[in-house]
Amino acid sequence: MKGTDLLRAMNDIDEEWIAAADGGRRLSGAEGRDSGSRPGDAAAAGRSADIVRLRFRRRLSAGIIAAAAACAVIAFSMGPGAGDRAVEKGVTDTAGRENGIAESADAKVMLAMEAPEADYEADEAAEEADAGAMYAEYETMEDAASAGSLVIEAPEEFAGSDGRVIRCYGGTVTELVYRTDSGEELFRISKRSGASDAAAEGGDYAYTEDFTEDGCEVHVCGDEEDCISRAVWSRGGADYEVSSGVYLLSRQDVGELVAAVE
Amino acid sequence: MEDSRIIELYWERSEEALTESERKYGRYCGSIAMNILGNREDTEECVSDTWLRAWNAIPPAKPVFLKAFLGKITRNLALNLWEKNRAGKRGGGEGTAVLDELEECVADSGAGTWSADHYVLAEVLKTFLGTLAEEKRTIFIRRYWYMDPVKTIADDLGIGESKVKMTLMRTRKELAEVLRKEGIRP
Repeated sequence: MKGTDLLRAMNDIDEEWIAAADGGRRLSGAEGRDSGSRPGDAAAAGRSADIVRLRFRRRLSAGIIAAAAACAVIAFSMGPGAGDRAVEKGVTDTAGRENGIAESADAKVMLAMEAPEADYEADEAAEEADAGAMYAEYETMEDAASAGSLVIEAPEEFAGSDGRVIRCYGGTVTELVYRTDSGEELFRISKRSGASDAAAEGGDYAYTEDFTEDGCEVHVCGDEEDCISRAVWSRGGADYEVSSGVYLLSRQDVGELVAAVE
Repeated sequence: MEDSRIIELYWERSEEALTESERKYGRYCGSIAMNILGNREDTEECVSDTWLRAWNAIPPAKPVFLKAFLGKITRNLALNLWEKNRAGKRGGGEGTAVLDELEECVADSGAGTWSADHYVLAEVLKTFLGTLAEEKRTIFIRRYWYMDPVKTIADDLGIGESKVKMTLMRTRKELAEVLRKEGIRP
């Protein structure tokens, strides 16, 4: 049997379900709609607004960083004797020059805020590439331990994963990246030596909860109870974090991980 | 026009049934074919053939859900054309991506070849879908029956793409397990 057999068999499911699932569909054809308002519209609008706000904050943050960097570069380039060079160029109005810097920084902020999302994704990819030089990857935890890295004990497989990558950042942080058989990342577990109040770290999530699992105070956050994108807890003088991007974890998943990871 | 009246027109062998079907459900059927084929010309062909197939099927058929009944015809026609296009290395739409996802459920685990009767498989699918919560079932049907893109499903249901992907992945895993338990998958 092939996937096409499943596709074909799907055709024979109950028509009632087919009709019900069509309830909120947007039709891509050219003709007019044949159904009324979509039940998800209000929620979708709310979520879109949330996404816009989130993106705005990201862009604003990026803009502030860009502005700070721009100020630093300009200040550095002007440096000691900058005034002299300014005089040589006929720029004697210090206030005017400061206004120019401020305008330049504002312009960078505006540019950063208006930059396409793809720019930030490219920046993030570049940051990841930079980070690549900061860690070492190991085949086994024994290899990592013999290299002086922090040891983390966790299941070899979890939630349909097929293989994991061990990344060690010096001797203080070790991260396990769980992937599917097609190489897509499922989630990450990291351990950091030196317990802090990890649970207190903030974030903009629709759902947050604190619960006790296996004697640990666990703080989770995400879209909702079964769509958790981050969980943090401390145990034995170390902080632990589970994070996921595309594939979100259920609360049960988190509970199992907390119990299994050391 | 009410569906019941359109069905009456089919039974009366009035060609107005075709006009009314196209007027009311042309766009709906077009969206199904377009999702699968990703090609306007092929989509139009499928939708046109849908009315002819419906004409031949009613009577004797008396659909309870005319919309879904017509949608099924379109989907079948579109799948036929999509498979033909695929063999000829031609085609687009969500068909390929959806097929790749469903292949996970039927992937050969190395225990030998296996096969399943279409109707057995359909019955197992029906039973399986009947066990799912409404939202989960809707997401599954939107993806694997309507072949809607993940983003569209997320937008329409007012949830995140990540939730849609996660729900689909979990449901596929559950389905794979059901197929194994039912002896359909080794």
